[in-house]
Amino acid sequence: MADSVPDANPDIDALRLEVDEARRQRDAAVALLQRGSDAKAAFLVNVSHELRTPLTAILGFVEILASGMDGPLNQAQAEDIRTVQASSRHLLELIDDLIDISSIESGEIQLALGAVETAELVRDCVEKMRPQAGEKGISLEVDAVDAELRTVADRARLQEIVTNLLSNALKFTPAGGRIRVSAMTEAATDERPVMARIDVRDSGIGVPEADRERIFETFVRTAGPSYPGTGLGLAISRELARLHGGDLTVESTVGVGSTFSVRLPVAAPWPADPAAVAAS
Amino acid sequence: MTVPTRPLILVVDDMVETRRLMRRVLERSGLRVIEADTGEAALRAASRDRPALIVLDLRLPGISGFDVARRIRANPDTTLAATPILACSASVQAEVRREALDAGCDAFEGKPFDIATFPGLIRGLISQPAAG
Repeated sequence: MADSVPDANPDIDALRLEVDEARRQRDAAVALLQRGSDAKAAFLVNVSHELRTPLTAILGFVEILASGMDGPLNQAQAEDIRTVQASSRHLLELIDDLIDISSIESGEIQLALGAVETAELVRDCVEKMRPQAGEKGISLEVDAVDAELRTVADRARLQEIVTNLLSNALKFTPAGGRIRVSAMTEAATDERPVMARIDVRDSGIGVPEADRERIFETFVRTAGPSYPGTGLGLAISRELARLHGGDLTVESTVGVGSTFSVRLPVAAPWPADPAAVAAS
Repeated sequence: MTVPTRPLILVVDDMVETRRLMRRVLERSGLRVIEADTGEAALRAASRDRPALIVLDLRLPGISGFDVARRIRANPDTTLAATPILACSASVQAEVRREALDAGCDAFEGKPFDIATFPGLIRGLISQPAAG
């Protein structure tokens, strides 16, 4: 219909041309951004690969030396090797964290969301950290879990968050201290709907109030360089929690301890068996 | 089926340091090792020496590790086609792992790998009955 009406208004023609031109410019800009973003993603993948390759030989041969496979080491040599080992592992951790934070900040990261049985995941993460806790003389236990709790999450990323929080608690809790983990459903409030909440509570050094937001920034290590870490774990964990539609927060008392809380959306309960429903 | 007492492992990697590390670790645990530094050399060695398992790097000059796995799986010689393959790559993203398994690899191990558990992983794959 519109086509059959002769369009004699030159202003409208000019406007159309302008709109077309603006669209072309927008499409070109979007294409350019996409290419830039793809190039950055490919660059990150390559950097990770290229850095991990020499680290494979470094960590492998250091482990061979440390194992005594090539002959016994004297005490000074054993200590030297342990230092190389710890530094190489730190470098590997840094590579992984840098790739993570870059892919989060560039929006490259994609979550593979599903319903995750959270109690089981939390228990698995705790079991993996138990040897490290034992070495440091820290009591690490899961003290309360809702066995039915299921969150909408990317399983691997949720593991990463919980592991980061446990590792953080281990770093800042002195020998003889305790870490307690819980995973429960949190009732809705005025501000938010029902959420899953995972708490990691430690009896560590605590975070002064002035630092409680700063610790979630990249490369900020308020406790000082004598504590190990990349300064990225909490930043990554908070960003990951937020990408899930949740958050990561901290409550702390200096000298008493800290509680890091991850909140995540809950998944629907187990679907009723359709056959059972039909039969009833 | 009897597993030879000293199974032969073909280590495919373009980095000499990585091949040397794998040789040390595998020989130490009683396995025999041959090496290939390209996909082409890997295919030749696999058909000539009939290894019990192939440890396969994925980023290789020339034929990629993915293609090596696909070609071995597509080989008309069913014994050769059933050789267990462990992909071992410094590209540890989930997509790479999935592509390696899709290409016919039996398992994936990221680099750096744990030298303490590596021989056990390989022995486990050798002793498994061939996938149908």
